[in-house]
Amino acid sequence: MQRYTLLIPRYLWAQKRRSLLTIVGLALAVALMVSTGLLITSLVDSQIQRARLHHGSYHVTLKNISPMQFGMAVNHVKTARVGKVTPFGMQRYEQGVALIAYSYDEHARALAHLSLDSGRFPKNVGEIAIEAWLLQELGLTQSLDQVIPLQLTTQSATPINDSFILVGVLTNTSTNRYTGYSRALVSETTIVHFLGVTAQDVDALIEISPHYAISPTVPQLQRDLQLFDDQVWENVMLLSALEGAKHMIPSYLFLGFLVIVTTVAAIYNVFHIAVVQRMEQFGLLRCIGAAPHHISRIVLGEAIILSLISIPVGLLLGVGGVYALVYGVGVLADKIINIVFPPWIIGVAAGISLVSIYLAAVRPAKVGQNVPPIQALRLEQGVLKEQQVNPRVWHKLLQWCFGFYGRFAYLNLMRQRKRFAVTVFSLSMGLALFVALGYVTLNANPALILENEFPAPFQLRAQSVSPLAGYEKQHLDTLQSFAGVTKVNAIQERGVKIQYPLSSVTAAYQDLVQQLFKRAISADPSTGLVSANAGLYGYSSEFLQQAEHLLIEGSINSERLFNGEEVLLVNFYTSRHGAVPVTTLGVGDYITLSIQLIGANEALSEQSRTFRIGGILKSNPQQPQLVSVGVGVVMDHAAFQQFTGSTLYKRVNVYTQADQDYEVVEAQLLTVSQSIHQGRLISYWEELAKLKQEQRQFTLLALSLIGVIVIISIASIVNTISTNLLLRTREFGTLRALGLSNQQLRCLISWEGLLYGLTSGFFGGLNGIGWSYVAYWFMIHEASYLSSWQVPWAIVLFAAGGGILLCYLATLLPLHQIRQQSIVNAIKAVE
Amino acid sequence: MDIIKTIGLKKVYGKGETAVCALQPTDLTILQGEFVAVVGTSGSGKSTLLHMLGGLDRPTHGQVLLEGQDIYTMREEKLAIVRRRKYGFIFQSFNLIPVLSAEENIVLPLLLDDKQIDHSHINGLLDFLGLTKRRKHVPSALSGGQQQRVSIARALANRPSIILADEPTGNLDNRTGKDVLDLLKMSIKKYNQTLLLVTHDTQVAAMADRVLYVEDGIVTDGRARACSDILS
Ligand SMILES: Nc1ncnc2c1ncn2[C@@H]1O[C@H](COP(=O)(O)OP(=O)(O)OP(=O)(O)O)[C@@H](O)[C@H]1O
Ligand SMILES: [Mg+2]
Repeated sequence: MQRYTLLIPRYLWAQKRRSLLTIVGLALAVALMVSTGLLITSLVDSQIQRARLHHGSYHVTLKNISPMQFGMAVNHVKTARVGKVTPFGMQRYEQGVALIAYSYDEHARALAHLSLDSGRFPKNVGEIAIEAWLLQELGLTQSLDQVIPLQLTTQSATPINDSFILVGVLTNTSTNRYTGYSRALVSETTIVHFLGVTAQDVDALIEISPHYAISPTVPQLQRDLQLFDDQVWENVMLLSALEGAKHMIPSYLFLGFLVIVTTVAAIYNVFHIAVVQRMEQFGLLRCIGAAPHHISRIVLGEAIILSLISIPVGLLLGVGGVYALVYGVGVLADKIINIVFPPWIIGVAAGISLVSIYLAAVRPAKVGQNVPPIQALRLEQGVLKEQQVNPRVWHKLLQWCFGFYGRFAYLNLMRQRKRFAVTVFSLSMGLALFVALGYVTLNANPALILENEFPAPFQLRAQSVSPLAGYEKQHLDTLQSFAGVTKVNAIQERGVKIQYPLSSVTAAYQDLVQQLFKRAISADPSTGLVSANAGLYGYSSEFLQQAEHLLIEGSINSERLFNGEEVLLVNFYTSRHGAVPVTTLGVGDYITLSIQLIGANEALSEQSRTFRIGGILKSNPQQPQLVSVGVGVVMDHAAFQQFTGSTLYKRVNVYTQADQDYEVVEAQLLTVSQSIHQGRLISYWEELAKLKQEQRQFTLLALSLIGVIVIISIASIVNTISTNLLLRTREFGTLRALGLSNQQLRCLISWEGLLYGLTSGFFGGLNGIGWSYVAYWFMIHEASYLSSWQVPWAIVLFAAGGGILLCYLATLLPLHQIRQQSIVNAIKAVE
Repeated sequence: MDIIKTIGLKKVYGKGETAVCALQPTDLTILQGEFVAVVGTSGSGKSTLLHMLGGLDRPTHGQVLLEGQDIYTMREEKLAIVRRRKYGFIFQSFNLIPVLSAEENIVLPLLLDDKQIDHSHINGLLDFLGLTKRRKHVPSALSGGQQQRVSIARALANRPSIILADEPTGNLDNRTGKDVLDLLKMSIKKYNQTLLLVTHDTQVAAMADRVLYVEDGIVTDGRARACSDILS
């Protein structure tokens, strides 16, 4: 050996297994960090992209502006792209749906993200492109070049009655499909041809330049173009989606934070052990004349060699893992449009690992330098703070609980308190992350959230607002009789007037009304009651019982709901700024509902009744698409029928067996749905199938994250425990020479493992409970269906049990090794 | 009555080129209550012999009979029990357990055996070895000599039938060394124990009933040697 630094590779090589464990631990920790970072940035980016895809990239629409104003908008310094939308005309169909035709210029098409399933956009006079779902509902095929006869009402007095040629099929937009208003495209030349005007008012879709903030720019545009309030429409869906993406950022940051803490702890632990175990050797080197700087050079050299191997490997593993998961296995493929790969993630991950390694390795080495050599020699024997072992109460208790071996194991761990603490911290972090991820996997699955938004694969819908239109009991029976249909539940709906005291209207709602409609809420001066429109909904008793999780206050009492003594209230006005409670009405308060009844000879009569409020709900059960605007009243079918006299259902949800051939069922349901006036069938099964896939992928992703954490924990704990035990070979040799039997040896060593496990399991479980609560707190914004937080006992116990078992198993390997060694060799062993 | 008997006991360390024959085939008999001194130059194989007699290291060949029973044919569990009940071992390097106090180190063999601790016996030992004031200290807080005395007390704690001492007085000053020897001699007389003691000190060897000479792994019985000396 020419140079002392050659000690470094020699040592690493001599301790092959431990070096390998260190490298594996480090590399996995780096990989976990990089992959989480990549996934998070890609998810956030994709969410924004997706919001644009769904709701368009424009921030504001300027309606009915003159060509001159349009020109001003195009040339305005704060606008980026401006699209022109020219209205053409509308046709209503007897199915209850409508077609609205426009021309979109190229910018408008891009900003609205209009795309084609087949064909092309219209260019010439008399050409048209129609959404796929409308063609289907009208009973038309998707074949191009077919003739579409239209009767359009337009802004000009005379309706247009002509035939158009279908040149393109537009991709569905789910909101249009739900509302029943379908967009169709014609060319600008068509509009000029039919309406004859060239200087028509148009709508402008405006994308505000990224250099300017959106909210102050909108009023400025309004001022500069001299527009009225009702001409300026913000794209609230996009803005709230962007806000939603922002909402997710704290939860992502939280996940990132957890991952970083866990990995730092793991890296620190793995590396700290690698250095501390060599304190004795350093003492020896110093005894024979090594200077402190020699020691730090050796430690640094070791740290550099290990980092040089493990950090690049970890980065490759992390990046490769994400690409493989997303593009290879297809995990989150629907959520992630592109993997965003900002180089800073690599920098941050590498930086964090280097800092942890520095803290773990170089610092203790510095400390080691300041200890006199002879003490360093003795360091490994354990520097007990107190020079005397006092029979303290704590020790007596330990001995009493766990016996001699338990206490002995405890003393052994306490001699390296810091090492023990670091290991326990690292392992309990891993366990806590496991609990938090497990909780999120079980409860916050995005597919679960969406599944709540799509209650059933099919919904039959009576589009007409007439109280005389709807499905009857006999229809439900027919639906139920179809093969593959498992459950049918129907919802009644009716517009009513509701009366409540003005004093119970919230200030927030009054402000909102003032802001949106420029009017104040007023009450009947004689009674002091406000009269407002409200939706009245009738559900089956069985269905209402399942709505417990939506309760904010009160209870769902089936009997009283059935008798009509009580109703449930949905009490929100939802706007872009979130849901605002409309009234302060609570359980036990009374409301009065009035309804127009059509009697004999079509004579109208009004009926009023007062109901007691039994409970307040977060939203309408199983109708998440129904954005609550004002007060909604939920009743039992029986009470609904008694009050309104109607037995008709406006919506019918149809559930089918999971393995059902949806297209067959769909055809059957279609005939039933269309058997009434303006009856429609809305199918969600394609979306549902996609969701199921997404659910599987989410689980897979969570499992792979959990898998990595488990491997890191295993590498770290096996490393620690075996190092700890093998370092004490000589002691175990002595004990055996004194007559410690193999049985007793196993007992002693198992106790050490168990103490690691019990402590980590306890703290990990406790931590995990806390983290799962934080996770819940973050998730509650996204997953409104989550009822209330409960300690995830099953996961906590599983994690704690797993941790204890892991620690126990980690002792088996060194135990075997210790037993194999001859006593004399063990006694002589000096590392 | 002989307590230990070896038949063709041999120990080879390593294999092939680097093989070291630490102990040549040896036949020995040690009687109950005998005080045997083992002398020889460094590296001659004294410790090796003691280890094998004490059931710590498996011989390459041959047998060690303890009260007529071959200890190396015993199962490991049984051998462990023999170690803690029959033997008291004093190591050349003390081998104390760093986390236990002096007193706990001493009673360790009893603890391992779940035996009731005879406190007057232990206190007597502590007192005699001058460790009473130091009983609560951990080994790293003790001087080398004190550590050695603790290891001697540990060997005597369970009143073994055989005490194997590997240079027990090496780290002690003359006076203390003599005291320790007196203690050992007193102990073997009182409890009819057998003592095998490795030493470089000819005065100490002279006190023994018998001396075993070890040279390059060859053990010669002192009596035989004395005879041959006389003969030559
Ligand atoms: N594990 C081993 N591997 C190889 N050789 C060994 C081993 N243990 C001991 N030896 C060799 O066996 C021989 C006898 O060693 P032993 O320890 O018995 O000597 P000793 O007489 O006790 O010496 P000392 O008086 O210095 O303690 C020595 O030459 C030693 O090098
Ligand atoms: Mg020796």
